[in-house]
Parts: sequence; C-alpha cells; structure tokens
Amino acid sequence: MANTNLPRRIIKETQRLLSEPAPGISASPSEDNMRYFNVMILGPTQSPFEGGVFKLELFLPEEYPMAAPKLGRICLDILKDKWSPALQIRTVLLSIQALLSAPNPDDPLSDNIAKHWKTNEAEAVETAKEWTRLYASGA
Amino acid sequence: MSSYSAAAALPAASSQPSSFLRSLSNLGLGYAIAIALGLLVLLSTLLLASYVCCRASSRRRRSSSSEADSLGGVVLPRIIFVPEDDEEEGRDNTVLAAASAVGLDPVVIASYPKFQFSAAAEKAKGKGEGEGTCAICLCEYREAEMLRMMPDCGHSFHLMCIDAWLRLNPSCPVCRNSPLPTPQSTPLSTPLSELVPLSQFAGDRRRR
Repeated sequence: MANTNLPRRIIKETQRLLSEPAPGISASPSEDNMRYFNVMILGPTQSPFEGGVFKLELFLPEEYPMAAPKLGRICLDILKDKWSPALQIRTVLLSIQALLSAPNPDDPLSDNIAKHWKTNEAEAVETAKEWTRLYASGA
Repeated sequence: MSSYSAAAALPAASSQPSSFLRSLSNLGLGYAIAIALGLLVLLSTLLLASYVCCRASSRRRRSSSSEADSLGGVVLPRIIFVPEDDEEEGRDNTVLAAASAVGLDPVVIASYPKFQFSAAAEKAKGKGEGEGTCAICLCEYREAEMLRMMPDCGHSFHLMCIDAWLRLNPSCPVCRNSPLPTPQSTPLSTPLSELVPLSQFAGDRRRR
C-alpha cells in the first residue's frame, strides 16, 4: 500500500543506493514498505569504531524530500533544522559515517559521554572501542 | 348698441394691462424681484418634490423586481459567493501564518526569476553535466519545463520543486544562501522582500 505513488525521486535514490553504494554504507529498502530502509554503516578506519557494523533504520516521511529522513536518535543538524531537499539518503548516511570519524562532543546526544570525552579523551576512546567490540561486531 | 358696448369695452380692456403695469410700477422694483424669486423657489421646490417622488417610486420598483429575481433563483450566486470569499480569506490566513512562521511569502517567491528550460540555451551558457538535473526531484530537465532561479546564487530548480521548498524554508537547497538578508548584514535598509509580506500581514490583521 505504502509503495503506491512512490515519488520518482525515492525510486531514483533507491536504485542508485543499490547499484553504486557508497563505501562502507549499505541501505536497502524494506520489501513491504519502500520508504523504510535497513541501513548498515561500517565504522570508519582509524576511528574507535573501526571494525564495527552499525545498524540503523531510516524512514522517509510523506513530506520527503521537503522534510528530512527519520533516523534514530542521532544528533546531526542536517536531520533537523539544516535539512535541505538537495541532500539525499546517501549524503545523510555519509554524514553519519563522518560523525563516527569526528565525534562532536559540543553537540552530544549523551551528556555523560561528552563529558567523559572532553575530560579524558584517551579513556573515552577505549570505552568506545570496547563497546564497538561488544555491541557492534556485526553478529 | 353692440358697437358701442364694444367700443366702450375696448378702452376698458386696454386700460387693464396698462393699469396692471402701472400698479406694478407702483409696487416698485423690489416687490417685482421678490415675486420673481418666490416663483423660482416654488418652481424648484416642485422640481425637487417630483425628483424625490420619482426616485422613491423607482427604488420601490427595483426592490420589487429583485424580489422577483430571488424567487426566480437569481439570488443563488450570492449564496455561492459568500462562503467562497470566506474560504479564500481563510486560505490566505493559513498561508500567511505558515509564511510568517518560517518560509517565504508566495508573493516573494513569485518575484524570483523564472524561465523555460532549453537544452540549447544551457549548452550555449557552457553549463556542464549535472546542471541539467533538478537537485530537488533528481529528474532531468525536459525541454520547455518551467524553472525558477534563486536571485542571489543563481541556482535553478523546477518551479514546482523550489516553490514548495521556499514556502517552508527561505534558503537555497544547494548552497543554503538565504535570499532574505539577515538583520545584522543590513541594519539600515529593509528590503522590499520583507516589506511586502509585512504589509500584507498588517492588512490581513486589519481585515479581521
């Protein structure tokens, strides 16, 4: 039902995501809802998240591309007030990948982890590596 | 007898107007003027009265004819027009409310340059690949499609695509260039693009 009247833009984006995926990123639409994507982002090399596989769920709202795709709890300006219809699923996922390479503790999702990162970065990086191994090993 | 009486009557008849004139001249010029003025006033009063009577009667006739029209069903348009006006006003209000919240006023959007896409013209301008595609819908421009160009940065999109975005957000989708100057950058001059929606908003409030 949700697949009827799917805008051409979503079809084009989906085709391109499948035919030429960005490095370390995969996004495939759900079979029963073409607006719902299962996303996997590989932890960037030389980051504490290296070796991790980060699974995400992405949903394209009815207003898309005039409104940003809906993702989980990710603090990223382009998913909120800085959204632009010239951005795409691909660019959003690349931004999330970049956020893993360069976390921004000044605009955190978790205040505690940001505090930890700012006061003792080495220890925070170790925690991130451990949690990546424990929770994002791609199992 | 008869000739005598006629002869006798003649001087009497001829003496009457002369006596009238004499009496008039006796009365004096002032009285003559007063009488003339009185006649004029009487005449104008009569004219005025007849005019008022005519108008009243014609109005009575017109109202009775419109009553007849209403019975004939011609009053229907009035019923249609009234809710339509209200609806239009309501739509204006919602559009204005949305515009005042974040996006641009449709009047401002409409003031931005628009043009028809032509592959030949684009090639002549020396634009490369990728510029023949709308960044919003990701569809290639087809011949004679209507495009709109952002006034400052020159980025263009399908008319429908960019208008829908600008109604929500006053920025270029590609470079985020805002056509509305920030108050800090131009503290002294108020651009027309800001004046137009404000004046409309004020008018709208006055109407309510």
